[in-house]
Amino acid sequence: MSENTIHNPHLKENPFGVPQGYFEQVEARWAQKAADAQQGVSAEVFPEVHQDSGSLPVAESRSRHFFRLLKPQMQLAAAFVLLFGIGSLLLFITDRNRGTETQSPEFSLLGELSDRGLDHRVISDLILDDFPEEESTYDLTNLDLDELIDYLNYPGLDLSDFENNTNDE
Amino acid sequence: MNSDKELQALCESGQYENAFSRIVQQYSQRLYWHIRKMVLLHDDADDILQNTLLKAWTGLSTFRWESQLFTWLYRIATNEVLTFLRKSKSLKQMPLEDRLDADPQLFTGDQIQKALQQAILRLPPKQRLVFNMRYFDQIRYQDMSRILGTSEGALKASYHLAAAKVEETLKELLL
Repeated sequence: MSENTIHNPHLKENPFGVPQGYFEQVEARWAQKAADAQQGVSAEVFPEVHQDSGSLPVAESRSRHFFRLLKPQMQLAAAFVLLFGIGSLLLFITDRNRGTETQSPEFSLLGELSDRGLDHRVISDLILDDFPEEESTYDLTNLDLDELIDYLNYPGLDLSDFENNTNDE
Repeated sequence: MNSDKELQALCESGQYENAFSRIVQQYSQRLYWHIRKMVLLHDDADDILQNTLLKAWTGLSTFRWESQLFTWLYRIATNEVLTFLRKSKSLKQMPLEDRLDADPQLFTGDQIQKALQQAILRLPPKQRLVFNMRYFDQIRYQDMSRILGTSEGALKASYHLAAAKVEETLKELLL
């Protein structure tokens, strides 16, 4: 049998090494953890069965473990519910206030007309009819001079000066 | 040597800590070597062993004792190894090929043993697991089937394929 085949028995020997005393350390480490758990010292290492008064029954231990796993998710869900509740409450309050403050008679009338089937253009015409027609530009030639003088009259104005100046021109 | 029945009796009487200490005494070395042959570096193997033992502890109260304890422990260790290899690949940690030379004090093999390890490293991870478990640990196909969740037929085929590849690579490397 050739040495360079996998059938060489030498090849089945373990070529790896470990630091001196490694396996003893592993055993000692876990034995210590187990002893701590038994005495209720190390709850973090053996959380599943650790309790001050000894080991828990398996079913109780499992249910506690289950709730411990669920705890963060439950907290997150509770936070969402709280935020949603606050948001809904704020929306409800502002909507109620807005409803009472902004419901003017005009809006009520528009809503009523619209409910009766009137087209919005008809409603618009009805509203615009109530406004006065745009005033035409005043014809300056029709101005009454006396009215203008009365309009410009203010304390200290000497009307005779005004008349003289106009006559000079 | 503690049989599964003795350990089961301890667990059923609530003496988990006592049972677990015995499990560590009995199985930690076998589990360590199973892990070490896959990840090669001692520090990584140590981390994975600690995770394996911790998971074994947390799951001990739910273990049903219908299957052998060692197949259950091997399955936990194997899953931890495969998770580690996936992560180390994605994190671009030290390639496996370089790990043989990383710590010369902890690799005491000669040239032909190193060549064998290099040849094994060329196999895909799951084929490497099958080869190591059969070639070095002489684990029965029936037990390997329970550990890896694969049929015995598939495992036999996988091992023979892996052995042929390793043999061929070994010859190439030792030319």
